[in-house]
Amino acid sequence: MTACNHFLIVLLALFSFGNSQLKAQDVQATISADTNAILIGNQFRMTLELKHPANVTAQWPNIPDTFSLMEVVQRSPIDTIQVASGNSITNSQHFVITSFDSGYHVIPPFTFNYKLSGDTTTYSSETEPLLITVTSIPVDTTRAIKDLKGQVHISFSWIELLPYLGILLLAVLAGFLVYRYLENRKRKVVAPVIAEVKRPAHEIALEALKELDERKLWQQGNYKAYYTGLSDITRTFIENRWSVAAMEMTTDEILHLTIIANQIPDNFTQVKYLLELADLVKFAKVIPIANDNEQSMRAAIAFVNGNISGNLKPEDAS
Amino acid sequence: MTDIREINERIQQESAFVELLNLEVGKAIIGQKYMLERLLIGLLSNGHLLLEGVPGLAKTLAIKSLASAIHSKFSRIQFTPDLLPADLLGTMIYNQKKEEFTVRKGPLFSNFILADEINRAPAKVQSALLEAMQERQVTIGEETFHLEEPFLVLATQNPIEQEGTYPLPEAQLDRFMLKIVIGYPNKEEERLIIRQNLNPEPIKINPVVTTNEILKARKVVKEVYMDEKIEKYILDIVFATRFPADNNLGKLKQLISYGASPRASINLALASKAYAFVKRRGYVIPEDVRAVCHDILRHRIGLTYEAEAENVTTDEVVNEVLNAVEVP
Repeated sequence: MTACNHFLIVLLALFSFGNSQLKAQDVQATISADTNAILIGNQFRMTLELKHPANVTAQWPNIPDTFSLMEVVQRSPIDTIQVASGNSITNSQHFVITSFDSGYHVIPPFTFNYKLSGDTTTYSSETEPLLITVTSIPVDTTRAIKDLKGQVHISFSWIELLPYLGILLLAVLAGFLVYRYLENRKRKVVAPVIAEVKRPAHEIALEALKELDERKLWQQGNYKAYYTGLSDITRTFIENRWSVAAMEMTTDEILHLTIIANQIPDNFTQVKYLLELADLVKFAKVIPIANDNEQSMRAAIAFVNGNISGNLKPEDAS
Repeated sequence: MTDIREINERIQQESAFVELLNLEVGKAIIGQKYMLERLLIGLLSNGHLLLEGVPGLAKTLAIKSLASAIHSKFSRIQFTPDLLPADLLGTMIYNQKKEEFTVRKGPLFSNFILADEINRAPAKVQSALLEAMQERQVTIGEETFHLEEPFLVLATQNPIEQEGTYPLPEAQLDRFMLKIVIGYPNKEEERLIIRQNLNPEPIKINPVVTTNEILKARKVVKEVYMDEKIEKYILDIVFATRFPADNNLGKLKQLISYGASPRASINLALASKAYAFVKRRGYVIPEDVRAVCHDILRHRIGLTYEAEAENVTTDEVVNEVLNAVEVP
């Protein structure tokens, strides 16, 4: 009985080993190229393929960008094709390879690791090595060495110049439009201004003095208003005539102005008499006699008449 | 022209002492006419004065001389950081013999007080002085004492050496009627000052005026005629500092943080009258207002940071205002 059992165990082990061996042989890794010889720098297509049963989980090998003096120019994604029966699967990847070194280059074998379902053992399958011949350009040493070729003259073409001409024309047009716009704006801003010609200071003053006299203020006992008017008209005349802020000056300051202090003595006396008397009436309740009132009006007129100038230009009067 | 004669005659009579006082003080003080004139304005209009100037400009001497020329009591208080209010006002002392507290009056009980370098004392001392200036009375313990008239405080301060000083707050500055800024004497005046100081004989100032005369003159000053036009002029000036844009002074709006107070208007009117009196005139003219305007307004206008950054002074602001406000 024991011998029989031993025989059965050995038979089972042999059977199971033989079964797994059979499945491993179903996994097949292949490599192929569309040519085995290229001219230096030329490219060729290489295809990596793995055929395996559906119950196999395979690991795709890592293909570096350069190997064996060759360079991978392009690589496709891994493509999976399942045959109609569903038992077999083919995985493939295409590469475009080139080489810039002449000679015989061997594409090394690529190893695919895989596992069978229900089995923890890792198996592997390798591709065959592939020989690629890279040839360089043959040099005919029998012929003489030729000189370098001269520059090639390319004939002038208007078509090439057209875009630049277009840009130039657009720039000129834009510049012209901006210029026109600015000109129009300038014309609008600089509207013709009619300069207002001010009346001569003496005309205004004499007219105001005449009007003040006609109001007969002092004759009605309104001395303060009369002298305020006289003082204001005289100071306004000084302001308009010499462009000094006489209305913001005191009598003392006005009399110390160079233009007033340098008046001929008669004129200076007149204006001094007038302004000082006006101050007394305005600020000290002085009631002047009739003769003072008439004399003050005469003094104001004399002062204005003594300082008549031509028509004031607008800038002088400002 | 009868009215003006009447007013002027009265003023001529009452203001005769001004000439005497000027002559007597002028014995000790050479030049500084501006300062002496303002001292008289303060004296006549019952207003306290703040004098500002660098050391050695005879600020103290002028005040001492003025006090000596008037029959009056004079006290000088040197303000220091350790001064106490009791050092000014006085205090209660315990009398062992009578077994009671008696009042010992401080130096404030005089007619003329020279508060030298007022900004060197702390705020509590300044407040004690300024309260006495305003109320014209002092309370020690439970007793209140009225200060004798005339009571005039003349404070000095130094514009340099500001370290360790206590600048007077705006509210307290406002209590000084005039702030006088004193400049250097001219060459000729300084030559005379040297000669006077080298003279071996000391100058003696004689009293030429009594306090009664001063008090009488104060009444006359108030009677100096001020026309409505002058009142309007004063108001125009003060309001121009508050609302500069309304007076075509828009550029000052950025420079003034606050304008002059109503106290400025009152003091400007009063000082103008006193100035007219000193000039022996019975009525106020715009020149009088302009003459005292800077002294009244320079410490009552607040400047903004922009103004301070541009080194604009209140005197410049007042100049701008005077140049813009129409004279009646």
